[in-house]
Amino acid sequence: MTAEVSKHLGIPEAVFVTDVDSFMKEMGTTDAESLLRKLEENYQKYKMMEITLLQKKKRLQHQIPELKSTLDIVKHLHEKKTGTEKSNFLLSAALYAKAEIPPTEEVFLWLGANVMLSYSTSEALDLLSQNNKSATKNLTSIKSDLEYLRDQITTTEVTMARLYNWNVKKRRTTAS
Amino acid sequence: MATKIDNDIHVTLEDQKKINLFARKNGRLNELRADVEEAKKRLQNIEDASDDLELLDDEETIGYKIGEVFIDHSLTHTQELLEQDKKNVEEEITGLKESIADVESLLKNLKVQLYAKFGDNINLEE
Repeated sequence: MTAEVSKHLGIPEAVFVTDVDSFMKEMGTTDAESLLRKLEENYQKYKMMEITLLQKKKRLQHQIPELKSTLDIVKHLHEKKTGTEKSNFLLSAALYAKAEIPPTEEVFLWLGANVMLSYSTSEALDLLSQNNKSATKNLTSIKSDLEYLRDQITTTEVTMARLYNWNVKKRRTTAS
Repeated sequence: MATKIDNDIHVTLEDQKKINLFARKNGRLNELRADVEEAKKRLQNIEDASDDLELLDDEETIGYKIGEVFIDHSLTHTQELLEQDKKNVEEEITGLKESIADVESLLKNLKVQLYAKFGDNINLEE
């Protein structure tokens, strides 16, 4: 198998076999089974990559709504310039407390790793929109990588089926 | 998707590409269908909420969830917000349905082509 490095995370492209006979000659072997094992190995590798990518995708699909919801509330605070906001906020899981929110120009964003930074509402909006944009962009590129991977998996499946059939047929001819 | 191809029929790169496209779009179709179901559920929730609001007095304040917090709003304002949400979700559903129709017709087309060439030797499952 020639490994062609592509733009898709360097995942090697599954080689399409045009003609099994000449492919076998090219590989310089008559042992279809060892080739099948090799293909099976590649197939498992593709599957592993698929699992990793699917996990990444899941994480992003979870992250994007969270970002959107933060963006919503910051937007709301940013636009609200007068009057106190009466609210119920989440104190702990399934426990809400009443709070009055005066107009504010400052919010704190949780950056992770136990760090929180204060931002003006407009800066916070910029930052969150930016994060949201890049998360959406990442998701799109992961989706395209997954589709590419899907193609390699299908190609390998078909090649394995063809090689297997070729081998069965060959053995039948040799036996008779 | 299961593919089983008899060796007697020559598989060209063109065919392989069609098979790949079929597998890929088939996966996409399942995703889109799941998305539509999920959006329909959201729409149902919004409609239920709107229905329940009808039963309340005009003076009541409603906690409407923005981000993680319920902010008190007047009844009419809440209804407006819900109406907006509903419109957004409906648009989303329409868009998804259009994509589904596109993918379905593409798959149907590919199926015809692939079955014409491979007949019973290929099995294109949904």
